Amino acid sequence: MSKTVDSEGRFHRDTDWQPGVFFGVLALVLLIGVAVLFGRFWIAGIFQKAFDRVPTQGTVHVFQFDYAYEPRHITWRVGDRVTIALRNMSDTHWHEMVIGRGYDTVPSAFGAIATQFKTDFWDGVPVRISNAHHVDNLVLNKARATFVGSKPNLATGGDFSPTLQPGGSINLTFTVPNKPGEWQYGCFVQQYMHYVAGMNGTITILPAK
Amino acid sequence: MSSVVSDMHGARSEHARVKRMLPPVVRGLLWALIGFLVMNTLVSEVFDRMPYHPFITRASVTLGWVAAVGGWILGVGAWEGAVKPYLGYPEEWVVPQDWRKYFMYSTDHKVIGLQYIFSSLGGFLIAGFAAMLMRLELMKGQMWIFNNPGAYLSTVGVHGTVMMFSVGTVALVGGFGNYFIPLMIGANSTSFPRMSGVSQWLVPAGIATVVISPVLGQWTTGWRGYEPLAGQDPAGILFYYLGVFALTTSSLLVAINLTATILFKRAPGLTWNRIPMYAWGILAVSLLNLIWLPEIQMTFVMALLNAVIPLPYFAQIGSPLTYMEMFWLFGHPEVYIIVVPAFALWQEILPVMGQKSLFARQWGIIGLVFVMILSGLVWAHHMFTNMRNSQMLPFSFFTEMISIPTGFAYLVSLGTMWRANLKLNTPTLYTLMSMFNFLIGGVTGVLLADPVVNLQVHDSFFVVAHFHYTVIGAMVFSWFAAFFYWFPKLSGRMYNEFWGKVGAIWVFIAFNMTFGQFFFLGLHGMNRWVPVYPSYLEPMNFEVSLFAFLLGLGFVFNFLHIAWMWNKGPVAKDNPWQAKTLEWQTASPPGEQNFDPIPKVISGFYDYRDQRLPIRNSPQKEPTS
Repeated sequence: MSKTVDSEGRFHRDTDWQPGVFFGVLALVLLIGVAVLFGRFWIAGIFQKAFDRVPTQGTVHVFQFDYAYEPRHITWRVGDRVTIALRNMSDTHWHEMVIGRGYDTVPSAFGAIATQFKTDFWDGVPVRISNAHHVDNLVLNKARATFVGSKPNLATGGDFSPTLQPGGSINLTFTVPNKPGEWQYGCFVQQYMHYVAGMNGTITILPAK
Repeated sequence: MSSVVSDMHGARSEHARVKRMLPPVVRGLLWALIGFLVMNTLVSEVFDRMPYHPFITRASVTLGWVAAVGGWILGVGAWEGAVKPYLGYPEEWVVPQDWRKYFMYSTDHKVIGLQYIFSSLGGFLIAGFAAMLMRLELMKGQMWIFNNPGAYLSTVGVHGTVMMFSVGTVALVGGFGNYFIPLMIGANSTSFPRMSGVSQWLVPAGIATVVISPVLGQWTTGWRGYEPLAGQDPAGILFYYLGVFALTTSSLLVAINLTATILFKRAPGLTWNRIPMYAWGILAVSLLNLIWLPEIQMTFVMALLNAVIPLPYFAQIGSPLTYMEMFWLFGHPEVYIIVVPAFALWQEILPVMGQKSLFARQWGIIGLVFVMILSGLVWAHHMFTNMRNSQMLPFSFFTEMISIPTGFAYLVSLGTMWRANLKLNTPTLYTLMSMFNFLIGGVTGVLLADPVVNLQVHDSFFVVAHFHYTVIGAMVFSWFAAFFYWFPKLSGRMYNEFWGKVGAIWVFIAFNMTFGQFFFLGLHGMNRWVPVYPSYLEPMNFEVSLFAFLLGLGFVFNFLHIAWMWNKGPVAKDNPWQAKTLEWQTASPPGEQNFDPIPKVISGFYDYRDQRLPIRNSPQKEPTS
């Protein structure tokens, strides 16, 4: 105990710290930790739904990670001229971006899983495709595409979907069609597992003013 | 005490402007946050700025984590307690002598030991909760708790990693080792108390890192971090490497400290012939840690660079198998890092509870040391599926050989019990249960060392049952034996014998019903690493899960019993078991000074033919306060 008193009376700091502050901060940190660990998508969704009602103008950068999109929510207004600048940030994985509504499903060991969207957002939409680098393949489906610069490798089958190699990018420029409401986007590669693992997001399209 | 308090109040009133200190843990969290934000911003926005990159990149989160851990360590007290004194400033770190000393940097080996025990207990409860989630998921053949397989695999990984690196490797070494080794060898402190004070705070940092890792992305490799699978995982795998790095660094520092303590701080007369069994166990484990932890740390650093830069060390153009060799080169000694202290504990507890001399003590030590040596020669039995038949033979041979020195631990324990008037109380019960469980774990280990069996049951629940029998069955049960055996020493009180036995029998039955059935699940075709399985396995899995929940509740019950009796139990005598080892020859709980004066050892500690104490001058006098 002799150590607790400084012989020269030099007390720079009162070490008699308060239990209340300790337990309060500890509880708060644990609570934040649990919330982030278990509810981060849910919390982020609520925040974006609540605060992201202003429609995005011009270019929106959509980043693909393993296995998530950033942002997870986009708001557009019908009639605006917008660009999706899609970029695959993964070092290892191929990723696509499909936009649609409803699901086609297939039964599996993990239960029924979504294989793609039932309704393709891009049906009949004129879209200008530019800045295509390291695009593995592009399925146009019923989109009316025009190309600027190098033309990516086209494929067929399924919804409109650009599939990017690691580090790949593509820009999709279009006028938001008159299809208001809630839309989803997602990545269904690798036996649909990216979508299952949480690689999806939502688009709110507001009606024209 | 009272005069000191009034002095402190006096000091406070004189210097009215003196600020009350933030709780060190809060300060540590604050500095961790600041460290992370500053370093992360510097890396992602200044030094490694890339167009369109997000705020947190793989490189920035790695370096940000390093800064955060630095801030945490300095904040909890290493700045005043270790860094400033090292630079020549006077030591200003004052530890209040109440419960608060356990929540700040300290250099007292008993405080550090209990901090390690709390940390591993926290890890045990978190990882145990993860195990409960896994068992909940496996109650049905389909996904129903987790909404994707990756989330399940991440949970398995968190469970395994936290259990191995913060409980298995730490509880009996950093925890009971730090507390009891100086007491058992008649020293008043460890060799490097400041380093030891710092190393403990790496454990909560490491646990938190691993637990929070799924926020960066799912990782699917389990506690082994297998490449090249890990190289394809999202960024969560980074926090696996970093968290394990913190935890293994902590264990490495413990190994350095306790090795030096056992070699150089023994009381006069405590010759090599008289070193207590637990100290031998800790010495063997510490040597294993000193040899193998740097090896696995370097492997993980390579894998980390693989994921951050990225490099192709373990990808197709590198050498994927190299990672597995490197991992199991450490991974099998790790098993003995976990179980050797448990063997030593049996040999510590049985002579005391039987009041009978330890049988064939030197063979017990030879057993511990040979287990330690052979453990480095068996690693490839984890990889029989990747080897030629001709390569399997030596590893199969050495693996089966290791059961011989392990057998010594049994023979010494059995010989000690032979015709002893064994006091069948809670610590004895846990010791016997631990021996029973490890027998099953060990015998199935010999089976698994046989390539023919191994290739059949590889990656099935048979293997899961085997290693849970060795880790929970032997180590965790011995951990509880240690808790109850040293309970009067740690708390100065006595647990309740009835509830202690109820708790022991509870976890024993639940454990065997859970993991005993794992063997049969495995033989019936239940695979590891899958959240879904064929429906014919559902009834058995459902029922195994019920026993698993019972086991979880049993552990919680035991901890509640310990916590309750720690505060409310009847006051115990200084040496309630009439033990001869040195830790019992001082007050319970020990004062700030363990021994005053340092005792002189005049004979071994395991000779129960008479009542003579093995030390000369009586250290029973009250420690100065």
